[in-house]
Amino acid sequence: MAKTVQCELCPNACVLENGQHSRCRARMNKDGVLYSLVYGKPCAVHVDPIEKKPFFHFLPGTTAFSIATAGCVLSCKFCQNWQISQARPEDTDNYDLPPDNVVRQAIFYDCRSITYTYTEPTVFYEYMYDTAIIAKKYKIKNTMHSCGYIKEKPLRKLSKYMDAADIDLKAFTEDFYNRICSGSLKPVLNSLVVLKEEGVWLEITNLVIPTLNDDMKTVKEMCKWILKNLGPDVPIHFSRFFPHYKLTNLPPTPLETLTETRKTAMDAGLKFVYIGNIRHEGENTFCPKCKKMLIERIGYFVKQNNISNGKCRFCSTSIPGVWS
Amino acid sequence: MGHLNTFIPFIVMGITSMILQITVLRLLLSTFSGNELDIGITLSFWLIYVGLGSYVGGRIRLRHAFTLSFIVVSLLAQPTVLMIKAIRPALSLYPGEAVSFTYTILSTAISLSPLCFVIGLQFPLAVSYAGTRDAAGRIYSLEALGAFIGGVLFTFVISGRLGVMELCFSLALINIFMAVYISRKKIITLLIIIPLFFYISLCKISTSLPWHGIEPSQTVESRYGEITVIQVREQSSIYVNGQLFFTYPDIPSEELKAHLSMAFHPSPSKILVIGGSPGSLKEFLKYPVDGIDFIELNLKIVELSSRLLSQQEDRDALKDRKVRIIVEDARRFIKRLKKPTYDLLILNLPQPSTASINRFYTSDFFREARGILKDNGILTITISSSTGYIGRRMQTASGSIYNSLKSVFKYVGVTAQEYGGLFASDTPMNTDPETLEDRFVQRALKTRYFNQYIFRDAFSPLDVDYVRKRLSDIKIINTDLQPSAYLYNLMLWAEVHGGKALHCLLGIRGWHIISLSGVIIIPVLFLTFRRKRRVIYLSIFTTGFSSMAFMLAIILAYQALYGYVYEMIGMLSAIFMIGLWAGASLCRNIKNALRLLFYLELMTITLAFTSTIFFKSEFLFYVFNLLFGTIAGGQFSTANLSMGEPEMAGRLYGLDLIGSFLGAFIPSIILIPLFGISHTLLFIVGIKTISAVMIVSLRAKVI
Repeated sequence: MAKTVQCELCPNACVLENGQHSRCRARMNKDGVLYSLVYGKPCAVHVDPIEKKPFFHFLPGTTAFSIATAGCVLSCKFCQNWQISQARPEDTDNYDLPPDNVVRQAIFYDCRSITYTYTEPTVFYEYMYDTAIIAKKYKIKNTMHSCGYIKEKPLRKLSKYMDAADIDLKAFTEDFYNRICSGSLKPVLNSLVVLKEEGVWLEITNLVIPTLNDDMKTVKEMCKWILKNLGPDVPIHFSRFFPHYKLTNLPPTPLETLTETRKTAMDAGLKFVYIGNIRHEGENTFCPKCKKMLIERIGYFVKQNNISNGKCRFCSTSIPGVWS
Repeated sequence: MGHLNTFIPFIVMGITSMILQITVLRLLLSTFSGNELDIGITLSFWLIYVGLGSYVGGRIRLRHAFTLSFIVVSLLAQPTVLMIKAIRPALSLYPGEAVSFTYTILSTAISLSPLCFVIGLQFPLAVSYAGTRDAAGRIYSLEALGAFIGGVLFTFVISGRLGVMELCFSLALINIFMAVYISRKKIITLLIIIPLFFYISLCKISTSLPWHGIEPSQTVESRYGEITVIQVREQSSIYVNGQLFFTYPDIPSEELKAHLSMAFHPSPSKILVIGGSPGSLKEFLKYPVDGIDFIELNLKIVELSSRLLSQQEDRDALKDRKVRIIVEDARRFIKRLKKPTYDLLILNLPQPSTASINRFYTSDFFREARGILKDNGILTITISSSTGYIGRRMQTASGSIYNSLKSVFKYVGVTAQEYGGLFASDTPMNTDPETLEDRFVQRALKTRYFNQYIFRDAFSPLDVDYVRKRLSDIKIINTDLQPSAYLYNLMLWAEVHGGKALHCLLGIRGWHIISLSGVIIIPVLFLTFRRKRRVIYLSIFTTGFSSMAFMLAIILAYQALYGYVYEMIGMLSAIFMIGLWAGASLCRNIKNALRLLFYLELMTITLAFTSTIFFKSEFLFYVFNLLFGTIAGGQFSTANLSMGEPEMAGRLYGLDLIGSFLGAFIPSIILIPLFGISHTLLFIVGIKTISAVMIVSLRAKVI
């Protein structure tokens, strides 16, 4: 029994016998040593607009070199990336792309940042960490889109190199996390607070799923929590659900639900509330003071940007974010 | 005993069992999102329970057992329906979540057991009730006649008119009256309270039960399946057999569908839209078009969706002179049209996860579609979308559609994976994002969500290249009789639900089947060679197997070619039953039974070989089914006669049943989906050749 190991990366805290794989499928106990099975082996490599991640207050109009490996710490029934998130690394067709090569490619494609995204970057923590160190040397920013299901210690360590994080706050009830994602809410809330403390630029994404998490009372509670613990400046993206994975036959989110969610969040006091996956006024950034349009977006494209030196061009109010 | 007594109860038996069979088949089909694999699974369990019941029934010596059996059937009908409707909530599935393969089999097996067992009990009880030894044949014929009547009634009278709960309530009443009629005990009438109670108390919950408590705003029975409307705020979603067809209003999707497709063509003037939301019509009308034909095969969907149109512009679009709504099967419509008519053909259907939808993703269909496109006409199709990565299963499923298109059209293009678009033409199409963007801007259309920047994203060269490379790796072609896209969508289903069982099954290759058959056949040949009794056992077993396999091949071929098995399954079963009965009656007094058995074997082989001729028209399908039923019925009769030992009838019946069970189970989950209908028919030819050869081995000795 001496060869049993426990993974300390995420709240699943898998205890693995020799030869056993972790729940995220990306790690394995070989003779008492925990190995990452995905280091340097991404299966998804793309050049995307940063708005697609989505980051709206982080180098708008630039592209992000985006990578992901197979595996995820959760198993959400609505996952749009289930083909990699719920797959074993040996079942996906992977590239051979060690950290230095990722940075090289990012420079080649003229990307200002590298995003660890699509699946849950926590599962390829070591790969992400090493890549982030090299990227920082070459003045390339590091960003991640994560579910925030990670333990505090590794998250704090990673935060030294991470410039921005978009965290999926999938719902605001333990019940939802439990039934739909096979996880829990508390560690996610903790990660949000930790990232804020560590000074990582933070944005939040909430996928609004009809009948599952579209109750306005809970949305209001969630926004109040964000206001109290993270402040009013954190941008939040409410995105439209499209049928995916196990919920392929659930209807897409009605537009009214999204606009009502946005209104609820703004009424609660959040300053930057966006609607994602759909063309709407809620795609644009408005100055919280003079209410003028600062960034006009159409889809993933920036049509105009009225922020200079981090300030509103019209009234000079500081706009939180990373702008250069 | 009155004169009527000698036949009415037996006919009612047949009617009840056929109607219940069709009802549960359709209910299970919609529980499992319209997946036709379940037809075979349901039929095989139905057979095995009925067989078990019949075995037990032969041993029951209760005085009023026959009366009692009618009462039990009447009391079980509604709970069985309710049990099937409760499968989804019991597995804690959300609306739209598909059932895994293992649970499909398990829940079918469990929900059918009590009712089918009792239905099986009835036959031997009826024989002992009739009192005479030779009654079995007569009751068999009457029951078959009843089944035929039941099938016809269902198809032409009940289907689309009576809801499941009303139907089961009526059946319960009829069976209670039957019990009263047989036993002459009027007191039994009081039992009506129970089905009445069920009807009143369960009618309401039975509609919302499969939807996890969401109350559907409408449920309508149609030829092609059960249509349900789920309303979330102002938005309605239309489901057929639990599968989401479209959502209305959903302007972003309606706009995307229309404007992305329209941008490919420099001057689209005549457009054919197959299926989907009528909400997209107003988008097409923004162009200077000559005509838009919108075709939907299901009249009920057209009626329902035109009632749902909440936006004025959608109602106006429907009335526009340029818009023509056609209620017909699009394949039939296109086949008849023949001449080049359209600039753009937009296929707006869900993914081919059922055989009935797969018929619009086959190379046969693409060829027909090509025939009605003008010179620079374009066909557009939507495949599964994804982000980041196209997994191997999705790659195979979408790749087989892509490759089928490529086998027909000279040029096939793709979009970035998030958009899941495929488009095909015989003239080169310009898909440079800037050209498309310019074309869209020049047309100066007013859109709410669609914008010119979408082209940059949907046709970003890196992303398009990724999709093309991924799909090009697949070399499979999806055809009507070898529906591979349907199969790969099943694989995708298996991957989504992580079930191991389906994965194993899908790994089966042709050589596995051939070598396994060899291992089984060689000892069978040794054991049966020139042994009369064993040869007859073999013949009856293969008859059971091939008749069910045939039946399923017919059902699925019918679905692949015409697409409305949901409505016609009653007719197909009824005709097969009447064939069985006719065959059995015709061969009752034959002198040289063994020789006839041999000829019947030859006829089966010939029929299986020539089956594709019968697939040419709908009418011939029924002829084929009738012929096959008759031959199968004749085989049972002649096998029994050849045996010459009436006491062996039970054993023959058992073998026939095992054959039928395997004949429903193996083809429906392995042979048909993996190897196609033609190969399944060849498999039948193989099996029947062996049993014919074995009869020949006897001829030197006996004949």
